[in-house]
Formats: sequence, C-alpha cells, structure tokens
Amino acid sequence: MKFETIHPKYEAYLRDESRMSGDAKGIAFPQSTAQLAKAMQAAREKGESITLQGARTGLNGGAVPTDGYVINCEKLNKLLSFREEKGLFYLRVGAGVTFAQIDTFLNNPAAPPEWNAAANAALALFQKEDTHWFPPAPTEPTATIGGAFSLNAGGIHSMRFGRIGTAVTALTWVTPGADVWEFTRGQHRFTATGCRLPQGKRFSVPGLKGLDLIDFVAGSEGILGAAAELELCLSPLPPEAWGVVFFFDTERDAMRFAGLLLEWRQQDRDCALYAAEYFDAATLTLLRDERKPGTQLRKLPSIPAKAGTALYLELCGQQSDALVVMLQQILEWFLACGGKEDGTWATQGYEQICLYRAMRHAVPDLLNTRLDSLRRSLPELTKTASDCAAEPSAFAEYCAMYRSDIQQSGLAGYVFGHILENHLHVNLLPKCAAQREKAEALLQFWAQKTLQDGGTAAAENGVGKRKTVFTAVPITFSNILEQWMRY
Amino acid sequence: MQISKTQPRIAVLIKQVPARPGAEMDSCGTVRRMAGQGILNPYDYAAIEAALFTARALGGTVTAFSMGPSGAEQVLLGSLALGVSEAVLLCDSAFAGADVFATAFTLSRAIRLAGGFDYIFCGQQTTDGDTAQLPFSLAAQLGISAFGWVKKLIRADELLLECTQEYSGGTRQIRANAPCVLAMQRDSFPVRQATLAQRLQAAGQKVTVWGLVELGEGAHYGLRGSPTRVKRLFQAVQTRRKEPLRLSPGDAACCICDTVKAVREGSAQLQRVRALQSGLPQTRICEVVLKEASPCPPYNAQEAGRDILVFLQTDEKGMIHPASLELAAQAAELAKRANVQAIGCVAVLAANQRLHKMRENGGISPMNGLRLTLAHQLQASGLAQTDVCLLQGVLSSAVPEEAWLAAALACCANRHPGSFLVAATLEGRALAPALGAKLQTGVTADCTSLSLLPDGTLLQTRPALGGSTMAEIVTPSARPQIATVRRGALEGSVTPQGTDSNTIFLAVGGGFQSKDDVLRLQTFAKEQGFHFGCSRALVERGWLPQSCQIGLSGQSIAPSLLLCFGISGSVQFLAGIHAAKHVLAVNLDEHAPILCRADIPIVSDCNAILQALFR
Repeated sequence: MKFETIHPKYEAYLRDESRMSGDAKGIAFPQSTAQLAKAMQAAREKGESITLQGARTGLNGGAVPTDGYVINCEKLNKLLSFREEKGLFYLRVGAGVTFAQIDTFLNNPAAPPEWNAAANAALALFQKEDTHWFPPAPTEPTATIGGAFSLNAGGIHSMRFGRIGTAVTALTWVTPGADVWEFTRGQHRFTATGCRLPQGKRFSVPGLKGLDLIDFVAGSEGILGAAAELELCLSPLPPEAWGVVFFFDTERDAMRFAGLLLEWRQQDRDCALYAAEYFDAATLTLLRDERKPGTQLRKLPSIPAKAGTALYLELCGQQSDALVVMLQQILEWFLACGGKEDGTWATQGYEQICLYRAMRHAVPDLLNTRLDSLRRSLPELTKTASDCAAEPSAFAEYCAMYRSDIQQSGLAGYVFGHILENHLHVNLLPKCAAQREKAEALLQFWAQKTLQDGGTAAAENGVGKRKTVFTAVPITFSNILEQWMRY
Repeated sequence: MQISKTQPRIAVLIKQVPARPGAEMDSCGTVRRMAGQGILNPYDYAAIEAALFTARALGGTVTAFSMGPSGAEQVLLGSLALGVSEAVLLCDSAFAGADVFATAFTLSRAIRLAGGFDYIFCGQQTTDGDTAQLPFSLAAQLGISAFGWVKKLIRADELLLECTQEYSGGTRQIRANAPCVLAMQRDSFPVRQATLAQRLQAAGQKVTVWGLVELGEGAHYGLRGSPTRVKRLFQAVQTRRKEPLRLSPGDAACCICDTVKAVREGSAQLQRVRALQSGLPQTRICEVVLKEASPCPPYNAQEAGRDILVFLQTDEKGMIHPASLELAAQAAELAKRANVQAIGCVAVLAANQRLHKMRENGGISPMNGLRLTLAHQLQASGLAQTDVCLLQGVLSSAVPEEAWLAAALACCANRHPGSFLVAATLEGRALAPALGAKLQTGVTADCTSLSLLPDGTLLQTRPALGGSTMAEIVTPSARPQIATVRRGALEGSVTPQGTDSNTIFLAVGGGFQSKDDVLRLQTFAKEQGFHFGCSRALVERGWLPQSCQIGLSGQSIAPSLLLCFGISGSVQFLAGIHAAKHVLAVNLDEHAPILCRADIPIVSDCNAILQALFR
C-alpha cells in the first residue's frame, strides 16, 4: 500500500470541520482491511506518525495531520454482510460507511451483489419484518461509522441508547503494530487485573472489570488502532413516535420543566423519552435569523418571537394510548412551569419528526457557516466549542454558568444539546484575536470545572488536536476513558 | 352539483405519500401503500390552510377527505389537529390500485354523498405521483370549475374567492366562483404546526370510514375501474455514449475550460442543432366553428381509429406555444412510423383581439389571416392537417381552459383519434385530465417516451416511484389514449430554432459535501454568464431553492452545453436535460447514469476539480 504525496487535489485532506489545517508527507486510501494494515505497517516502518481519517466531519481536528502520513478510510465503504440471530439483525460494514448509507439501506434494504446466500436469506427475513433503525444519530449524516466509533459519538438518542460503541457487536481491528484482530462482544472482557487480548497476550490495566474490549477501544481516537469493519446491531423501531417542541419565556422555566422530566426519567426505567434537546436564547435567535427561503428551516414555522428558550422531546413506544397519557402529564408540567398552551409544536410519526430533528441538526451547521465568515477576517480561527458532560442533575447550574460566563466575556455564545445528560454543546464565535483568547480561556475553565465535578471534558467529539486548549487540565486517554465509563 | 347557498361548505382533499422516493410496488405495478410509514403530501398543508382561511372568512366548517389504506388515518388526524372539523377516510379494498381517473371518481362519489361542497381545496400535486391531474379530473367529473396552480388566496367574500394563479405567461389574478376545485401551490400559505394540546385532542377523535357500502356500486373504482394500466416496470438503462475519461482534477478542470471555450467560439463540433426538415407538405387548415357549450356529437370510443390528435396551445396573438410546436413535430414522426395521420387541434376565441385587428386592417378575413399565421408556424411540423376551432357565442367568453376543453372535445368527436397528445404546459396539464374525465379515458402525464404499436395501442413511458424506475403505461380499451409530454422530454426531441441556443448551463448535485462550495459555484456561474441549476438532492438538503431544480418536477432545459458536477443522473433529472445538446458530466462513480448520458463523461472528484478550477 503506497502513500501518495499530497498533491493539490488532496489539500482538502489536510483539514476537517474544526477548520484547523495541517500538513502530511503522504496519504493512502485503503480499500480493504489488508490494505489498511499494510498502510499502517508501512508508516510504522518509516517511523512516521499516522492520522486516521473518516469523512473529516470531526469538530476537534482529530483528522487533521500535523506530520507523518494520513490514512483515509472513506473507501472502506461497503456493506459487507448481514445476519440474523434470535430475531435480531446485524449489519457488518466497512469503517468508511456513512450514516446516510445505513439510513438508505434501512429505508430500502437491498443486497450488494457480493453478499453470500446466508446474508441474502437473512435480508429476505429482514424485508418481511417491521421497520428497524440504527439508533445512534450523530448530527452529520455524512460522518463515517469508523469516525463516529473512534470518538464514541452518540447523538440525540444517547440518553436512551448510549453511544455508538454499545451498538457494535463485532470488530475487525487493526492495531498500531498492524496486527488484525477479529473479535465479538463478550469474547474479551476485562477482569479486575486486565484483559486477554485476541492475539493471546494479556493487557494489564486495573479498574476496568467487566468492560468489554469493544467498549475499551471505542472512543480511543486512533490511539489504540483503527476499526476496519464493524458489525452493527439494528433495533426494531417502536411503532409510535411523537416529537414536541416546548417554547419557554425564560431559562428558569425551561430548567424547572427539565428537572421534572429528569425526575420522571429516573423513576421510570422503561421511560419512553428518547431525546431531550435544549436550545438557549441565542440559538433560537440564530434559527430565526437563518430561516431563509429554500432552507429546511422553512418547512417549519418561525420560532415564536417571545420564546426565550426551547426544549425538544422525542417520545417513542409500543402503545399509542400510553404515550398520549404520558404526553398529557408532560403538557401539565409544561403549563405549570410557565409554558403557554400555544407555545408548543407537536407531531407524530418518524417521518414527520425528522423536521424537528433537522432543526436541531441545523444549529451546528449554521454555526460552522458563521465561523467560516468570521475566518475571512481571522483566518487562524478554529472551532471553539465545548463538549463537557457532568452530573445530569446539575444541568441548571451548568446552564446558568455558561450563560453568565458568556455574558461577562462579551462573546457570542450558543448553548444547545443533550440537557438531561448535562451534555451541552457550547459554541463560541470570537470576532478578533483578543476574543479568541477569551474563548479558549473559557473552554479551559469549563473543562476544568467539569473534570473537578467528576464529569468528562470530551464527551463525544473527542480531544483531537485541540488538546492545547486544555493544557491546564490533566487530560489523558485513560482519564477520558475513566470519565467516559461513568456514562 | 347542488350546493347550499346558506352556509359555505368547504372540503379539503389530502393524501398520505411515502416519505422518500422508492416506494414498493406489487407485481401489478400498484404502489404498496402499506409499506413503511407515510407523511402528509407536502402540497396538502397549503390546501388545509387555504380551506381553514376560507372557513374563517366565510363562517363554514372544513371536512377533510383522504383515500388510502387504514394507515392514512394518521394524516387525517393531523388535519384535525390543525383545525379541520371532520375527517373521512375512503378505505376499501375495491378502491385499491386506482389511477387518477378512478381516484377522482371515488372522491367525486364521496363528495356527492356528503352533500356537495362550495369549495374543494387540494394540493396541486402529490410528491409520489407528480402528475398534477387529480384536481382537474375531479372537477370535470363533478361538472364544476377547476383553478390550478393557485399561489395565494387574496380575499374570501360570500361565494367568491379572489386568488393569484400561476399560468404559462406568469401570474394572474382570478375570481373563483363556487362551486369549484382549487389546487394550491406548495408554498401558498405559511407553514404551521399543531400544538401539543391540539394533537392530543385530535388523537381522541374518530375518523369516519367510508367504503364501497357507503359510496355504492360504480364502474370506476380501483384498478378494475381504471382506464390506464401499468404494463411493465423497469430500471432505466442508459446506453453509454462515450467511455468515461479518468482525469486528475487539474486535467479535468482544463478539459472543462476548453469545452466551454469551444462552445463560446461556436466550435463546429459543438454545433449539433438539429435543423427542422424543410420541404414537407404544408399543413392543411380545416375550420370548425363552435357556437354553444356542448355543440358536438358525443365522442364514440368504438369509432376511434389510430390517428394522433395534437392539441396546439396558442396565445392571444395566434402564436403556437413552443412546447406544442415541438410536440407536433414529434407526433408527426410517431405517426409517420405507424403509418397514420397526425392532426393538429387549435382553439381560437372569436373575441380574439388579433382577429379583430386583422378585420380592422381590412383585406384579409380574420380566418384567412389566422390560417396564414398558423400555416406559417406549422409548415415544417409534419402535421397532415390542423383543425382550427373558432369558438363563438358563450364559449368565446369562457376562461381559456374551458374553451380549449370544448374545442378538444369537438375535435375528438370529429376525428375519432386513437391518441390525443398535449404539451405539458400548465394549461395543457389542466386540459388533459379534464378531457380524460369527460371522455372517461386514461391520461398519462409527463411521458418521456411514446410509441404506437401496430394495434393502435400507445405505449406511454414515464418515470415512476420518485424516478428510480420507469413505468410503461397503456390504456387498453378506453379511447382516445391521452398523454402529456414535457418540453424536451421525448427521445429525439427537436429544440425549436433560436431557443436556448449558445447557452451554457451549470448544474450541481448531491456529490458536493459543502454548501459553501455549491454557493461558490453559483457565484462562478453568474460571473461567467452561465445559467445555474441543481438536482433534487440539493433542494431537499435545503441548500438551493426549488426554482433551481432541474428535472421532471423542476425545469426542463435545452442549453448548448450542460456542465454537470456531482449529479448521479436519476431518471427524473435526465428527463429534464433531454434537449441539452452537449453534456459534460463529472462524477466519482463511473457507473453513475449521468456519465452514460454525457458526451464528455469524466470520472473525477468534483470537490477537487472545484479547487483546481478556481485556482
């Protein structure tokens, strides 16, 4: 597997969505696990570092090379096989397969010509079943499964399904030494003293008892190797789904409402709540301003002028009546928390709630567009966003902290994300070099506070190349892993 | 239809459609509507809002109707949440597999059963069928007026609505008198979402279900009562014109620049304008004078021959619409191959200002002047003869579409054609289903291929299932076989001289990963004087407005050179670029259909080419 030099045509592979850019000696595009292993072996023999890339949609520069070689996995983009076991269906994919590809397969299941008879038989069974889905739903549909696994991303359903690693049931893993491991969930679990690895050696790390090896390598950002193939467990889609947007005048009202939801969720283990996404005042203003003709946002009404904050909930379940009862209760809570009866949008069915999800997914896109326009006058500007997740019950405290710090700094800041996990994405848009310093100081402060409170400073976007932002924070891989395990 | 004058009664017709293109079909070519969850047809939101607007203004209530499987109840519950008072689902296995005519028949039965309505609102078209026929077929079956492509309701006053309507010449203000059907454009009303309280309330309401028992027996329900049949479904296969070039982005950029330069300089290789054949016998002009609303003997399907009648849409100056001229030439070619005659049909209002002007100028009688104008335009069309229906009396003051319908009926009664072709202008798309309803025959909209079999059967091919598949449709027994054809959509279409010549069109598609790159290309196109458009993928992503969309549900284009970047080439897109003289396409996937269609196919990364191009 040869590395090509970085011709001008490969310049885009020196950047990612973080707007950071770097340099590399060469790039390879493996099309199979063997080629991936050979590329890693070749780079190792040259003594060079490796930067692994998926679709380069990461926000923290993890795919941006600083030197050495780039191995881009976007051509590992095949749906490899399909199987059924005990009524569950499993799709094996290359690491370069995108979420959009999986979505297309689920909507219109069709076998690639290379699938064998067993895979085709399983597919025939699958086609007769009710609809299935792959619940991890990161914002960006062009992101690759391999990239999302390397960050252990979650998306809006993480409060219900956890992160992508939990939906992976088997892996083909290429180690930094270019060994290829094939293993399944349950084959290699950590005991109190460590774990026996697929090649037979023992990996001695205390304190990880019970952890599956798949969960250990998930979120390792290329440090422990690269996923070449992943087997994904597909879940049956609950037949009933509701999406509701609740608008509040004030942050205080929204926090009271979210508090009631969290309490209810903690009481009811089989809770039908699948997503709870928060939008602060600045984020709502952004959505109002960017509702331009021709955009997806035009498919929704204007955000009410008086709305100061909003919460988007998704509820799914088997029984329509049960969901209606729950929603009546939630509506009562909303009204008790200062909400007004006309201050909601509601819809039923997965296809319809896609519009609400699109609104949530539009936020980072719009912020990236604004970032790009700021970069015209400040080219060194990169993405300045936090990805901290702390104790769920402290979300109101964190929201208040973010708002107050943003106000005092004079920065443009946007707070949105997974409120009931206290995992909010705070994006800052500095307009000059001085503001950029302020923004980085704030990110560092929030990361430190979160770690002190026992949370994680890199919940799903990874640390990437933005470690310098957190120099005062003792972030190491094991630290992240330890923090991550709590969620 | 008898209606109450004391209180306006308002209906809205809505439909559940698949959320994404590519719905399943059974072996009969009938869409399996139970497969997967559906959504409310996006055009129908505007219809619901228009109905509620009218009800608020006039004090009536709104009843929603939908025809479909039991799952379609969901969209009716959604309409109840938005403020509709009553919801009726027409659900019976006997209704399944209905084409437009049979669907309109079933809906007309339900509307009559409900006692009739003053205003019947519906979406202009559905996203699954894209035919835009139903409002006109329904109105014709109910015997009331239809107003299509309504962009705005201005005022509701007693039993009259003032609206803005789109037509071939732009937009115009109209007055819609009850009873009538109004078909709403997609963005004619601001979108609204139901509140949670409204949704919860609607979840407790009941939807009335009517089946065959309630509607009563009839000859035109479901598949059995549909004049048209899907004969065959098949994947569209493009024959590769040229082997694709595998070029580096830099070389590809050079190739693009050279091609553009060659077109601009009028390079001989790129001048492939197909000249209209000369020396054909002139069209014989026959005169038919219609003085009353129903002046003709009824059309008798048993007497139908194999000739092809082509409706030629004219403007007030007697000028034939370019789409009709193009279709006339196509019909003549089709007729020649099948050894039958192609006959034109023109409707002219006696109140036509042009005729009056001719009369004032003296010397030439109005009809002779018109004869000359038409003959001049049709001399190279290949049509054997053309019937000119001079509409007098009541018909001369009718709205053009109703007058044209009368003329089309008269010509059909005179000629007994086996096929009737209409150019798919906005007016043509209204005329065809109305004529189909009057003659109880089938209409196939937006055909991309037509052929006449020896037994006189017109084989009509059009994209289906969101463009993923082609459907061959026949009208086995009803006559005439009516089809509408988009401009430039038929194989071998002739682009009228002087139209779109020497233009360069730049089109972009889903292959782009960044909206910024697409917008840069849009600016680049503007700077270079290129026209700019996109495939459906970018409109659905919300990156570009629908006005930019090329294809069957967007615009049809006929440039000298079409540059396609990152477009895969769905059947629907290809239908919209059929008349492009030369196509240069760039796609990473060497199997992309657009590369088969392209004269200069390039396998390369459009994102990387973009960088090279701008350098």
